[in-house]
Amino acid sequence: VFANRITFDLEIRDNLTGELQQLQAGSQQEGRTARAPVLSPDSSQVAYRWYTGSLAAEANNFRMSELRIASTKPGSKPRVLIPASPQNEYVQPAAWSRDGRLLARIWKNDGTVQIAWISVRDGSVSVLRSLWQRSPGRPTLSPDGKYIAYSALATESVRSINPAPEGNSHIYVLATNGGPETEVVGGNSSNEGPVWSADGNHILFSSNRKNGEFGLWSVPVREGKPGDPPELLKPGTGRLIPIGLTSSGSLYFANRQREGDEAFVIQFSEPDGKIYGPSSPLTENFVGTNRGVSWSPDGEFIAFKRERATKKGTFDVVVRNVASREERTYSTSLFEIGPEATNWFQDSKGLVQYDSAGTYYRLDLMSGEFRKIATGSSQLSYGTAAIPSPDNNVLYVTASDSAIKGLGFNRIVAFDLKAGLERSVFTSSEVFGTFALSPDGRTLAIMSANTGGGSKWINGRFLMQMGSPQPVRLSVVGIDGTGYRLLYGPFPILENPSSNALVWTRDGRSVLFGMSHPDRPLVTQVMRLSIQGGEPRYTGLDIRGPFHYVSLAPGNASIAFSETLQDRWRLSAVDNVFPSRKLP
Amino acid sequence: MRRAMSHLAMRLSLTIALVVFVTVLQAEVLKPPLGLDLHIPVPEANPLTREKILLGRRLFFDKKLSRDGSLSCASCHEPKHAFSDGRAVARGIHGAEGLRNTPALINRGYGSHFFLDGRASSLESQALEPILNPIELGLTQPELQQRTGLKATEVVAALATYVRTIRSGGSRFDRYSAGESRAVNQLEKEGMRIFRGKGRCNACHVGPNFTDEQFHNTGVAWRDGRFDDEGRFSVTRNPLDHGAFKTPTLREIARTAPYMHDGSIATLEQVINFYSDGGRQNPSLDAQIRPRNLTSEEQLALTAFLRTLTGRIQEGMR
Repeated sequence: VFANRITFDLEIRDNLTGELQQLQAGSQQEGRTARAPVLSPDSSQVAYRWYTGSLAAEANNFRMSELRIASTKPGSKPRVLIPASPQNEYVQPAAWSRDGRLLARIWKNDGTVQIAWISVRDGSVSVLRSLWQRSPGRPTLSPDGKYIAYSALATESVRSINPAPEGNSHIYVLATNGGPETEVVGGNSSNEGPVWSADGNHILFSSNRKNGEFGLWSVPVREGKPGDPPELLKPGTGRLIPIGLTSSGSLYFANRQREGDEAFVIQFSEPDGKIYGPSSPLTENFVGTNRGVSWSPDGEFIAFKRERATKKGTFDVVVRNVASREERTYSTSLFEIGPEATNWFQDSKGLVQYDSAGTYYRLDLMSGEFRKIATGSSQLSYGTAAIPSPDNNVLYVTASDSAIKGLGFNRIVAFDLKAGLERSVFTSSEVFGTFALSPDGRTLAIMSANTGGGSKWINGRFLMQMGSPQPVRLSVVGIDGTGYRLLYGPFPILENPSSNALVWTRDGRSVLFGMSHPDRPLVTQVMRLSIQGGEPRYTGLDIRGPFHYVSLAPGNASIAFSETLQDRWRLSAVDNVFPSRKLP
Repeated sequence: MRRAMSHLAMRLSLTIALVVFVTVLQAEVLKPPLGLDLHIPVPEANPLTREKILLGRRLFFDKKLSRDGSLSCASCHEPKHAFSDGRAVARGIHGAEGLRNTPALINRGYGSHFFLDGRASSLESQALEPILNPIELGLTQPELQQRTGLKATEVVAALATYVRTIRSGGSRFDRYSAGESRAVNQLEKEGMRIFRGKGRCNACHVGPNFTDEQFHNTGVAWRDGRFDDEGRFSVTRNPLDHGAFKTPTLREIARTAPYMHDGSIATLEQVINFYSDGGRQNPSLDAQIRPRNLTSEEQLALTAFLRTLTGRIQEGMR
């Protein structure tokens, strides 16, 4: 059962048949909407918070939020269990007990949040625990119904005598009859979202107690008291919201992502140049931003960049084994790794990385070492994109000379990695956004923009904000600087051309690129253009945000890409969360 | 063999019956009046038991606990005054007067700081101090043990346990909150609105017990350019705590006059007027204390609302 955020309806889905049924109609216009529905143990009833309309609330100077009960039978009328009241901001159900009571949180209008039992029969309230300014999370009932686990700020958030560092939340276990309460997880960290194991002997929770990075943790609990210290079950999960643990040991959880990029894989058919969905997330590990995807030449690995949970704007290189799903993370103390895509050497054993000071490194995947391979001259500024030739002897990079420095990159330079020499391949009157090397290593495809007209470049970036279409062109040129030819343009793209991808198909006959959607703002259409020119063809793939960092799998069977997310939820499951323990 | 089994079964059922009895007893003891939390924080080292409640109650009312046998805990914490004493400042043995007003002992089981300056962090650490204070009950620890036949730790455990059972709830406000719309009248509802709105009383008086359990300087202790009682500062030595005192509960407020930490304000109406004017200016005045400029009608309504917080006091096994 769920509250549909698009239709504002309360709906129930039969997981066996996939059938959807509307339990209560909402209205965005009138502000009527359901929140936090909870299904009764026999699935016959749903308890939920019902917001009855913002206009009425304003008129009465208080929130019009009710606690309602609805039957899951089609056509039945909901019942108001607790009406809107000036005493309460709202009442939000959390769980049903076996004896027909509701465990709920009540937000009082003085900032107090109460954990309470509510009689489903008559709506009478029995407050278990009042917490002021401590933001208790959703309480969960132990399988035997004797205990409640919840997280709350360790101390009041304001005017506390001994305030805990901001965001420090602990996990508490409280007897359901109002008896003893015990802090089962403490410490100088955020510990949230407790759920009980099926046997009631463990509480799983999300925590950043180790190195500030969120992971999935477990603490043993007996008779409401903690046993051994908490144990890390799965690192690097990001800030997750555990939903529940099945008797077979699968944990269902949700992640909320307010901003950032996520990497996906989708099927691509070379013969007809079409995308076939749906896309699936590239990785199970969702910590904030995964971007800069790049398929290895042998097709066995995908490299991408993952933003550190503990330091925004700093990335690690992650290499994922496509078959085994294992991931290895690479970082270095030599420099801060940026978010841009990383390109493979042809042997599939190394990656190119740029340090923003004009030096290029080879990351050796076996040893994890970053080895310096090329340094630019002082006359030129270099771009982050660096592409090795198929024989790994040459590195192609974008550069700008002193005349155009600060306006963008107008050159493509080739570094001879053996001789340590650089040579200019091609210089243009336009600035380059991104470029790509053909599979045979003989032709460069370039996305460029005119510096005149409406486009203004400052320090290598357009001044225009994301969302404003930027006119660019596509062209090709030989690696010896000859045979320049305009393929297509001008056409609009989203954001800075340097963060928009350009990808050769593996047969070397076409390139894939993104173009601003003609009707939908902030959406990019992925197009395919023959290297012979002509009009581009729509692949069928729309992505939110710019066409970031795209990579084709060998054989063209799949495309990996990253997409800009805005307030997105992801529902996931981890099977066998207690691998070392025998579950009942 | 069969006899042994039968004996074992009987012992087992007796044990189960005892466990069930104790559980039921605890649930009865813990059941709060309307408006209060089911959960009362109880230290693991001093669990709530019937025996300790009864012993604690007996000790609370026992004048043997004072040096001259004239006073008990209940002499200052009188049930008829919601466990306060109706005086401006507490009076101990031989008529000795203290410096501060006797706080009402209701709902202290939910508290986190004890005494008006918060120098005790639990009922257990608070219990002995008035007994041993020379200007209160004036006993020594050996005398206490001799007179009661109990160790001091046992007296502490019993008194703290009994005080946990003193609870006030079930007021007309609580009935109104529970959905009985006629439990308060229109004037009282208007007072409730002012309490949360223009008056901003709930900046400090929050939660089921109408206290944030924090310390605030309202200016009452500021006289002639100095604090005549440093309050919380004397405990913490934190400059922000000069003249700050713990927020008292507002439950039973109509029965606990006179008011403020020194009992210097006689009536509820005068208290409301004091806050409406913005307390008393001083260098450490709490940011929440500022002129609210309540009209006389608003002050009347606010007083009416505060009177709805008079409820029913439960204590001991009752």
